[in-house]
This record gives sequence, C-alpha cells and structure tokens, in this order.
Amino acid sequence: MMKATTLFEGSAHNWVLFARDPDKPPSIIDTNQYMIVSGNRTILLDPGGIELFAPMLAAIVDYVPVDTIKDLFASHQDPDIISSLGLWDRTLSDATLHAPWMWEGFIRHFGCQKIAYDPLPDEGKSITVGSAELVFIPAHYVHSSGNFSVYDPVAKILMSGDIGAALLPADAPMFVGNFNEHIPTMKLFHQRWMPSNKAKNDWIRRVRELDIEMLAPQHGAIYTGDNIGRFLDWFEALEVGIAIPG
Amino acid sequence: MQTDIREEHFFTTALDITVILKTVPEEAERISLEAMNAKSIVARAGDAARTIQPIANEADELARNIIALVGKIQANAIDITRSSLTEFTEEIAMQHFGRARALGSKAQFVTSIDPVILAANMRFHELHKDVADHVRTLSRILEEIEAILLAATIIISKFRLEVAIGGAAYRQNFETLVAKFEDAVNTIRGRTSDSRKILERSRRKIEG
Repeated sequence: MMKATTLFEGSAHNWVLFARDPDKPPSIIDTNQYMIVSGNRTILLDPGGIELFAPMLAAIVDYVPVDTIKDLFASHQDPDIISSLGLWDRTLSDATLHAPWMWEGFIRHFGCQKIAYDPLPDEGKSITVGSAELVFIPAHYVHSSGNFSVYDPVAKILMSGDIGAALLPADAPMFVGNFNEHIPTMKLFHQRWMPSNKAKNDWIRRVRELDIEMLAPQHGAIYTGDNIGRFLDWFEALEVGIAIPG
Repeated sequence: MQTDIREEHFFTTALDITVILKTVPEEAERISLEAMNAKSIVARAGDAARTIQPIANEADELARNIIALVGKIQANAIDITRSSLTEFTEEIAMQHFGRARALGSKAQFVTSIDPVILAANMRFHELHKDVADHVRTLSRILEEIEAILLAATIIISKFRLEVAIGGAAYRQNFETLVAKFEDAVNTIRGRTSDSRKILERSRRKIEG
C-alpha cells in the first residue's frame, strides 16, 4: 500500500500525504500526492500519474469516500502531476480541476470531459474547500512556465510543487533530517529543472513573507522548522538553469 | 501493471480488413472498364454482337455496386476502429478501478468505489454492443459483396456462352475481355474471403 502520512489535523481540516508506493514501477519517479479534507469536501493536490492512480484511490478511500472529492489541483502540466486525470474524470462527479490557465489545452489531452477546468490566472487566487482557505501562489518558471504553489494559512503548509524536490530512494524518510546531507539529492534537480534565477528569486521573495511550518514538495521529503529557512537560503544562493555545460 | 487486457481488439481487425480491401475498388473499376469496352465493341459489331449489350450493362452495374459496398465497408471500419478504441480505453479504466478496489479491500470507504466500477462496467458493455453492431454490419456488407460475386460468375458464364455462339468477328476481343473480367472478379472474391476469415477469427477470439 502507498504510504499515508497525516501532516496536519486541525479543527476544520486535515492534510494527508500519500507517497512511497512500494509497488511503483522502478522506472517512474516517486511522487508525493496531497489531500486536504474539510468536512465532506476533499481536494487532491497534484494527484499524480496514471500509473499511480489505483494505489492512490485505494489509499484515499481509507480516509474519505470517493464522492467527497470535488476539487483537484495541478501545479503544472507534467504527466507525473496529472496524467491520471482521464481516470479521475471517469471517477468523480461534479468535480473541478484548478490548474494554470495556459495549460488547459494541454492538460485536457489527459482526458477531461466531465471535470470542469478552472483556469488559474497568472496572479493566482484563493479558493475555499469546505472551510479551508487555500491560496494559489504564482511559481511561474520554477519550473514550468505556468506553475503554482499552494499555501494554507491555517495549517501553515506550503505545497511547493517541484521546488524543494529531491530524488530519494523508495525507503527514504518523509521529512528532511540533516539539511546538508539532503543537498546532494536535490542540487542537480534544481539546477537543471529550474530555468530562471529571476523567477526563482521572485518566488523566494514572496514565500519569505508567508508563515510556513512545512514546505511540502511533490518529490522527496518535507522541510520543517529551521530546514525551511535553510532551504530558501540555499535555493536563493543556487545558480539555476546552468546544468548543461556551455 | 496492466494484466488481463485482451490481446485482440476489433480496431486491429477493422484496419486489417481495410488494408485487404484497399485494391478492390480498383478491381471493380477494371470490371467497369471492361464492360465499357464490351459496349464499345458491341456498338462497332452491330447486330453480330447485340446480345452482349445487356450482359455488359449488368457487369457495369455489378462493378458500381461493389465500389459502393467497399465505400460502406471503409466507413464502417472507421466506426469500428473508433468504438473499439474507446472500448479498449474503458477496459483499461476498469482494470485500474478493479486494482484500486483490490488494493483498498480493507479500507474504510472502499465500497464508495463500487458505483464507479458499476458505471465503468455499463459504459464498457454499451461500447461492446456498439462494436458488435458495427461488426455485424461489416459482416452483412461482406455477404452482399459475396452475393454480387456469385452473380458475377453467372454473368461470366452468360458472357462466354454469348461469345461462343456469336459471330467470329469479335470473338477474340470478347474472350480477352471476359478473361480480364473473370480475373478481377476472382481477385475481389479472394480479398473478400480473406476479410471474412479475419473477421470470423477475430469474433471467435473475442467472443470465445
């Protein structure tokens, strides 16, 4: 079974992380999927690729019935983020996908007939799921040209998409321990996948204004406590878009 | 990850049949051309070949009917391909839902997947019925072509008989024409028979 970790339990909503599927084919990258449940309403953040659909659905129904899922969020258009959409489209009724406006015509290639597409404007926006407010923070060009992070001001969790991602073995812990030891698992990823120093610094500037207790990427491990500041400092100092020898 | 997916689907059958029948309209055009040649010879020969005229007309009509039916087969093959591909996609979706149901068998809300599986199952069976209807239509069109080819055999015999009892002046021309006509009919018969075999084999595999 896919590993499920509760990240936050509040009076009105919970965050659950699904990751580290032991039956995942080794050739596909491991991904972190997030679920926020508030009352009888559920949102999935970056619900994952088609290969992980079945274990993901099986893990979800341990927490909530399928028909409570009314919202999906895709930080960007990559297949490991949202190629399961065609199957969710057959699974959900009255659901909405919140995703960058510029990827609508592309993401729909995964299959999106029943699910409504909510095109997120470049400047971002907020939505309410049950009684939880979620803010879509622009993260364009880190790495996708149309990209958002998700901030929950009550749980103080920032779902950062590919920012902070690390390529870890299947049995790696869910939380970053020693930050310096974590750096080698994410350095090349950020240098190669992130194309713009300007965009990166712009995102860091905005994120530093938020009160964050967990920085939760779509791959790898979650940053908590001082590791969040360490990561932002490290990322700020990192030259990105330079992984190809010139 | 995907298991128990059927190895054969009608979209490959439809494509195979389309490829096999690709040259049939050309052969039918050949029949039509030979029929026109026959009419032209009849016009030159006058009374000596008057009885050939209705046979040539029949051959021409037969050729046009075959061309029209092959057009219907091609249109039907597109419908089969489309329905069968959608059915295939639905079958894969059912595999995913079934796997989720099995993986989550001990999960608290696992039964909430059941309506999803039921709906997918219903969609799959509707699509399967749709494909089966198209396959039946395809089979019927092939039967129609076979019936026309049977009529063609009779036309060829009548043609030969008329040529044999007719005047000697244009016999050689007519014999050459009827040989070409027969050759085209035999080619179409072979292709239709191959198509039918593929269709039946595919039906047996899928239904069995």
